[in-house]
Amino acid sequence: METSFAITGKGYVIVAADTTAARSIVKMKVDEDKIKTLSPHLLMAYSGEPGDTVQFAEYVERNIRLYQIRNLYPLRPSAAASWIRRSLAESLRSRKPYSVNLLVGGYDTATHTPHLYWVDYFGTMTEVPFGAHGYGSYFALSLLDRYHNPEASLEEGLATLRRAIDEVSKRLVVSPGTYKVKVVDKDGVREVEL
Amino acid sequence: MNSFAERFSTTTAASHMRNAQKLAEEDDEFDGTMWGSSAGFGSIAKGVPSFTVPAVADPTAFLRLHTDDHADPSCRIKIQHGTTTLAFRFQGGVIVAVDSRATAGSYIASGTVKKVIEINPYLLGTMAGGAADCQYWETYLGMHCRLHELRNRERISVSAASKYLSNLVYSYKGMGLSMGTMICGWDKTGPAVFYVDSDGTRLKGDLFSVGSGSTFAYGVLDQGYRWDLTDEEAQELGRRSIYAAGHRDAFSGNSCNLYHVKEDGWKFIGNYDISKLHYDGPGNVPGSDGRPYGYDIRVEGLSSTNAPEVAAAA
Amino acid sequence: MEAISHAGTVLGVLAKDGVVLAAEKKVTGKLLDLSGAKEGGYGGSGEKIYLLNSNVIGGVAGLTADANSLVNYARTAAQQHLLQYNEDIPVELLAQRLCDMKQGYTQYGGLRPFGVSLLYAGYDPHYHFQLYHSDPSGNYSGWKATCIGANNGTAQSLLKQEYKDDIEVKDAIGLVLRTMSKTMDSTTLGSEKRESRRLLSIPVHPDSIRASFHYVHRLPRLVPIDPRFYFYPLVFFLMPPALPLVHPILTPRLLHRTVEFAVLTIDPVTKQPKAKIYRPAEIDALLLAEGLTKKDEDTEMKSA
Repeated sequence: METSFAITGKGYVIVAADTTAARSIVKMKVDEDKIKTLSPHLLMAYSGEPGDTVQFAEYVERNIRLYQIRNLYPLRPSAAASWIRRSLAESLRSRKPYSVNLLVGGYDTATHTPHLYWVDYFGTMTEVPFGAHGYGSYFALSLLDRYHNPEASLEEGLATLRRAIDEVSKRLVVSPGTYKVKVVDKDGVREVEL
Repeated sequence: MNSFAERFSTTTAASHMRNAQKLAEEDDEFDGTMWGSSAGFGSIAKGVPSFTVPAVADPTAFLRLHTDDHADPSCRIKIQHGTTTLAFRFQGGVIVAVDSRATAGSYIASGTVKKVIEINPYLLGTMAGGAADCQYWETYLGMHCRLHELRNRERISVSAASKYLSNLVYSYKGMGLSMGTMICGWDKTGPAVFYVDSDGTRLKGDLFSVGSGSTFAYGVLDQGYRWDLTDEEAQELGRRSIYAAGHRDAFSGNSCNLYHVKEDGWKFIGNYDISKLHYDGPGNVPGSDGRPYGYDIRVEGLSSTNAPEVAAAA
Repeated sequence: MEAISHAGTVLGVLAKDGVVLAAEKKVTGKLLDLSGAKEGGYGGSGEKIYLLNSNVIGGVAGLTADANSLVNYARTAAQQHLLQYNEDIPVELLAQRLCDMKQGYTQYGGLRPFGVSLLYAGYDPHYHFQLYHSDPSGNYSGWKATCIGANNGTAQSLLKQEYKDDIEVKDAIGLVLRTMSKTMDSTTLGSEKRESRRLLSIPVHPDSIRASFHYVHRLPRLVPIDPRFYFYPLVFFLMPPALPLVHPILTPRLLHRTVEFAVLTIDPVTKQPKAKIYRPAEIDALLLAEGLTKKDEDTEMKSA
């Protein structure tokens, strides 16, 4: 089942999402990227209803880009997350709501602080030190309560993420095989291998 | 009173009959075949339009069985759910192979359906789900691909065409569309396959199979697939995968249609009867050893018995 | 444009640790009841200087009714941004919002443009302290120090002479008030003096002034936060009047009726922008501290 994680650490956010695109019992694709880079210091992992996910992510991507073109500077993570949350909340009461769950992670270059927001398709948003969506969250959250360290170095953070992924692989019946992992810090966004 | 009301009402069965009769009297341009008993109206309703219905006791209930309540409960008709289609990209282009059975529930509506839609000489679309939805929207897509050509003086890319379709069906999401299609073709980037369905999902990939028989097709396809397949091997793989699904899946079968897309556009390779493939093999076609595909035939004479070789000693 | 060049002067100076805004208002008459203003919610008397958002102060010059409408629009735009992004609106974006609307009125027939120029003094995390000016056509630009309204030419050249790049708020306050006192066109002046003022209010095309003055390049600047600044009202006593006054001295009672004053800084405790719009009594104290006025009523019409 679709699973995504994100954790913050000393000056960075790590976002990970599985890479499987499934339809019914069939894996249609095993190398799908479900993490969008919204701006130089902003990442968004998305999961949920097929179709809605990509459509909503691209809608967000274009609007955040538009803001950056208009104002020369990109939205700060908190402002971007608030805008995204509002979009989902407005969508929820529309004729056809987007069923998309998100993890928005970014690095605020103005205050030099990493931020992570957990957002669900109801338009709930909360800032968290770590977060997860999907069945994997039932295993990962307790693990991260135990092992997460807000001052962990990137290596330590990746090791903690590795723990979470391994646990999910071990215990979840239908666990995803592969994950894409991206990091955002003062230098911007990059993909990392676990 | 009752008979009075009936005479002037416009909704009772009697009034329908009356109208039919009137129509029949006024209009005498019907040919001879229209005369006679039809649709239960008897000879009095000589000109009433009618259509054939499934030969069961309750046609409405029968049809209801075959509706798709998942996509939209209010949508009453859903046919052609069982299908096997596949497409894959390889060194020599794109292979597209499909079966030809159309089903409505347990009822085989047709065995000679064309499930590959020829959008233009460089683009093919496959058809799974609602036949009409696929046929209509992929033809419509073809129209826009042509307009794109006229406006931009170059052929549309497979990526753009598939995105056009994906955005289009997404705008109808939740309204009952049912399509699972692969848009296949050759553009500036080389061979390309995109999976697009009525959820709005659009995936770029090397290998896809769609429909109720897709799992069976994947079983053969995944194992036999390599990027550097020769054209002949690739065609054989597509044919054999559709056979596998046609054999195992009750909702797929009859025959296999095979297409090959190369740099200069698509080419129809052939139509193969699944039963013939089973018992006799594809015949003398490139890539095949000519042997039958059926398991029983393939293993005829082979045995798993593992008795110690005592007979030779004795 | 015409209305603006006769309107009360509004001065703005950008310092490295804050922005200062001062405005001269035309006193309509002694009978005008200003008691409401004295008890105003955020300090302003609400004629020339307004709090547009918690991080932006606006100063207006021009038709008062138009200005009220624009202030209302600006406040709404700021709240809409807060609603959508959960952050204070960036200062330039607020200026853009107003200019987008002002421009609209120059484009379509049948509508009259807003006869208002504005100064925006604000703070945001992107560019820190900023000062913007916008005119009725919908043009806007960033400034280190600028002036709108009557005598803006005089004020501009005075500011140009005295402005220093690393000026701090406490000096900016003095600069603003001194410049203001020299350019004021107050109705409380005697007829004789009003004549001399007229000589100074020769209409100058605003564009030519703007081109001749420093344009603030929109680059992020680091602004050290000076905790002393919280105590500025105390510091003022220490500051001697820097320039000889060439202007009649007004009584405090009248002055607070003619000047509005505001400062935007960073609160050293919360690290959030803090807008202070001075109350009449505070303005009097400030002017007294700056040596721009004397308590003695007898000196009222005397030049220093």
